[in-house]
Amino acid sequence: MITLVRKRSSAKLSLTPLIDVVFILLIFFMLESDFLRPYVMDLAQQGGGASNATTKNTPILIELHDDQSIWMNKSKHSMESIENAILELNPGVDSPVVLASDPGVPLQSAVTIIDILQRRGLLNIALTEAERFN
Amino acid sequence: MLKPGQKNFGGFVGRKTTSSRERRPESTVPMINIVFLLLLYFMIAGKLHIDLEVTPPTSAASTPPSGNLLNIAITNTGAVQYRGDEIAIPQIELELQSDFKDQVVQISADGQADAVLVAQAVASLSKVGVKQITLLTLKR
Repeated sequence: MITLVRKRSSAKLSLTPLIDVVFILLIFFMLESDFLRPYVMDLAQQGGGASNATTKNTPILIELHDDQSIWMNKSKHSMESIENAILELNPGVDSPVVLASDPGVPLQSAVTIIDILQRRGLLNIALTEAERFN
Repeated sequence: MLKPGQKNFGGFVGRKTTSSRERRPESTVPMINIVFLLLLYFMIAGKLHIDLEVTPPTSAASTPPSGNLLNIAITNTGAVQYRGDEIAIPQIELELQSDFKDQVVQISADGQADAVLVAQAVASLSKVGVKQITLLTLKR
């Protein structure tokens, strides 16, 4: 009687191609992934405290001109000096701020000013167009 | 002086061992585990793109946007879009009052868009009587 003994292959499945593919996928996702997360900031509604001149606190008027100059209460400032000027003014937390922008001023400039104001505790900020306010 | 069976590794004199354990290549399994974990992390946590038509301004704001709100997009060319259609800002007051009344409205405006357009949109939305207006920003 002849018995056929089938020799079982001891070779293991090679993992190398799988690892290659995983590396390629890893590099792809590392390069293409974007971890930017959007956030939101509140904008005060017009007709509320900031844009309403009849409130008990006189609003702080900040004007953004199209020549990149910033005027606060009729004195000229730069983006660097405006924070110190706000500190010197020492407004109360409830003080309304009217941010009046000229046409052509990029939104980023207005948002940077809003950031500075919020850092100083001023949250009642209304964004308006300069022509409307004057 | 080196004896037979010794190697000079930059000044260190090592003894050549005959142990079969040391002759085996370094195990790659832990590295593959870490690569798999990194791959999973980037696949799950990373997004290939943000679904925005605009590049919002950067700010220090840290409030995440809430879902289910109305969105108005303002591009850097000055186009105002609502639900995929281009609209004029006066339309908010004239035709879209019922859409916006008592709603939370998110303005996603380009950082290079005219700030006056955003101000005009805020003014119109305020007149209509929205509940809250938020501006979309990216973390600085």
